[in-house]
Amino acid sequence: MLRPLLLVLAFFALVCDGLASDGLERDPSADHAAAVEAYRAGDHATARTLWEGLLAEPSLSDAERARVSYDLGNLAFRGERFLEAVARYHATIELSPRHADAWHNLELARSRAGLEAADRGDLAATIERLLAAPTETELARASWLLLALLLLAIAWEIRRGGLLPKLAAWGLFGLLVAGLGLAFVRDSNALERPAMVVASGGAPLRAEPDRGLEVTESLAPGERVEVLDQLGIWTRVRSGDATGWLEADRVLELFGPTQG
Amino acid sequence: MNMHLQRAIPLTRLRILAALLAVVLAQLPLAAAPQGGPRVSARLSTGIAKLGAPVELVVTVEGTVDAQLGSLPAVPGLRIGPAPGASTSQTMQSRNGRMVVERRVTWRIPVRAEAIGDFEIPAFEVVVEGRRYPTSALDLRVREDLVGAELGIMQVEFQPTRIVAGQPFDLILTFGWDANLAGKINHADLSLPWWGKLLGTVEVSGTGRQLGSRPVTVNLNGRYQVEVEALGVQEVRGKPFEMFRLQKSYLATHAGTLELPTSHLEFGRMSQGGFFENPRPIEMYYVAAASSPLEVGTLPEASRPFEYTGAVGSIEAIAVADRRDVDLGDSIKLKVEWRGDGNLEFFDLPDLARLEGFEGFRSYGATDQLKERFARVSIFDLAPIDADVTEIPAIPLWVFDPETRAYELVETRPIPIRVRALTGSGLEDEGEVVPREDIRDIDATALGSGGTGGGGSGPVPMVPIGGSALGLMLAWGFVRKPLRRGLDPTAPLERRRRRALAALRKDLRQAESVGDAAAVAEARHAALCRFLGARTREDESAWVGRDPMDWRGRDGTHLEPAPARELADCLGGLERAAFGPEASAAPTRDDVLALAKSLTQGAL
Repeated sequence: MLRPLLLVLAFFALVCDGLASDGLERDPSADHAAAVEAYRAGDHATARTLWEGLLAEPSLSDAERARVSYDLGNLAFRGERFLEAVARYHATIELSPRHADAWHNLELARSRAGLEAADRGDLAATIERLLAAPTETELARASWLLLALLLLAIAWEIRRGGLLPKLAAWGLFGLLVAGLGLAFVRDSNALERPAMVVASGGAPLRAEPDRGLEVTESLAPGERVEVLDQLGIWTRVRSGDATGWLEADRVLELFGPTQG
Repeated sequence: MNMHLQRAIPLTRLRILAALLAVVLAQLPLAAAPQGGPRVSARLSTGIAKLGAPVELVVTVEGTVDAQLGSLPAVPGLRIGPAPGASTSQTMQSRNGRMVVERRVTWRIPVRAEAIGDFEIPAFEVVVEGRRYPTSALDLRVREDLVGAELGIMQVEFQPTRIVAGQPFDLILTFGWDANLAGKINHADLSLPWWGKLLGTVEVSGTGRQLGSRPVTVNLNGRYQVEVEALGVQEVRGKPFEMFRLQKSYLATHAGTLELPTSHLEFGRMSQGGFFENPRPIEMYYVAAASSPLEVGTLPEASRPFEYTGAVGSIEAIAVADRRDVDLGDSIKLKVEWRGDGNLEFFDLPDLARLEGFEGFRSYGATDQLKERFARVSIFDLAPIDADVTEIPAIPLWVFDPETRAYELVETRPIPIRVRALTGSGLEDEGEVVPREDIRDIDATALGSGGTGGGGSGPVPMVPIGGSALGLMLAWGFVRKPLRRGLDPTAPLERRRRRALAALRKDLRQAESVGDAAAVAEARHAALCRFLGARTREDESAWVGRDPMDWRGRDGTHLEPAPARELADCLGGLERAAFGPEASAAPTRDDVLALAKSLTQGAL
């Protein structure tokens, strides 16, 4: 007799909890729509606030984050902050490597910022872009598929024998090793918190967060760095082998503080 | 004994069931419809009603379920219908030992009085099983609800009171009841026969409700609910009234007279009802409101400008550019906000490409949206194509003002801009230039709906995939031999057969270095026997001393006479060279290989 009552109470508690949490949650779609409207109406400050707020939303998928970064890139471009636009487009391309519009706008922004083209058009750049084209998810799916095909090829070879299944098995194994190698290389080269120098005059690197200290290194505009730490208006970064502090407003973290 | 008892019980049950079935079947022929044909009757739920109170015309047909209602009569001062769907019922009951089936069809048709007086609802026809049956005429006396008129108030008005076709107007319904009754009123139902079917109009989006006003939900036409504004207590006729307002915006589509049927308000107290009881009226009051007709005039043809695009009302325009310092060919988003009580939603935007003053610009079209009832925002996409352009000219819009009954020009203010010529292009001095390449537009599609590009999350699980692949390859290496043996016992023989030629080539190469000519011939002979044994899935010893001419044709082998003879000669030559005195006449390594190849391609 008590059990149905408890079940009903539990159901209502769940419903109420759902309603309460629904009421507190932000609606990224509404924010995005409002940002688009503000952008269209020329209210760039509101659009920027809304889109930057969206970037801090942990619930956003990589594809959605890429789209918001792209829109922020356009916003920066229209505001003639070309280096910031370059950083935003790079963030878009890292999240969504085949975003054709982002590639187009990136080249324009780099040209306006006085940087060399991201895609030089030579063979090395083409291969580099080709290898960067698949996303992590696509690589993972392709690897699982190759593994399944390898299993089938081996079963085929054991059952029937012959050169063709053997070649197929070794070929698939080779492809799988190549894919995993690519994933490993990309993973090794990926920065944990990538950022880009967006100050047009570059960014001086100092050993400690103090303007009075001498500059140990000078970072060029558009240079990629890795954010290591933050202290007030100072950010500690690594660029190659050099590590040091620079003013936070001179760099833009590509995926925002919530993205690791 | 037990078995007999178990079988007896079902037999008894069957007998009882059979007896019951017989009783029911015996009753069936007796079941019949009541004597006589179908009976048609009509009655009113009340003979006397207050003005505005709902009355029901109940039409019943007994003795059949095959009945349709004819056309309802029209009575001036009464609104009859529309007829709802019929409810049918069929019951079976026993009367004096006979089963009687009763069938009945009932319509409950709403009747609403729009005027005071004595009315007669004439007879009308009901079609029953293809035949027409008339109802009887009915009398209804409608009296004003004096108490309701005293305690309640209802007004319907148009704003503005005189309009032209294409002009929006508001229909404002104000109603309420004596504030002293506020605690006793728990029911209000608006009867608005024009709701949703105001001919000659289009509903305009936005209700025009005052900001901060408190919304209240009331019943509408007995079936729906509508949100109205609570205006609070206001003094009317020297008494405090709890007032409410319902405002709808329409746009008159053509000229003529717009008349509203009488609206009613039913308010009062209903019982709360309960699980077993429906709410029922305890005390109800009625108040009616008639409105003056709205005259819709036509737009004057005389003096109508050619550029007129349908704007009517009082409209003002404000323009803002998103950037004012641009390079030649750069895009400028010009936002124009149209404000006022005109038909903002319905006029066409001016085409900038055809306007004077915009020759120095390329227009890429415009997007716009109605932000609220009194504001529309249009965004024009422009690009200066002339370095001499110094301003975005005023955008004109011709508007018909119903107040002055004249066409007036509404214009935005010109916006000064600076256009920088493209340096180094060689086109600085040209009048017309190719627009500069610009970035692609933002991705405005809603989040979660796809958009441009792919993407996803989740790193490649390198360890599980790599480990699995490596494990598979190792397992393949170790397991395939026993597995293949298990699956095909002849596999080693077949493999030996496939590799026979390669093995012969190797053996012959090794045979070259075994010693003198006789030893070489013996080694070649042994190699050839191994080859032949492998190809015929036999032991190599089977070919020592075998005559190929005899062997030919046995075991399903189709060795032609010529190659068989050639093989016999080769074997014989090698044997003689190995074991006889004719060592120098032994077939060479190439002879043996050529023979083996031809045999492999032939019958072996």
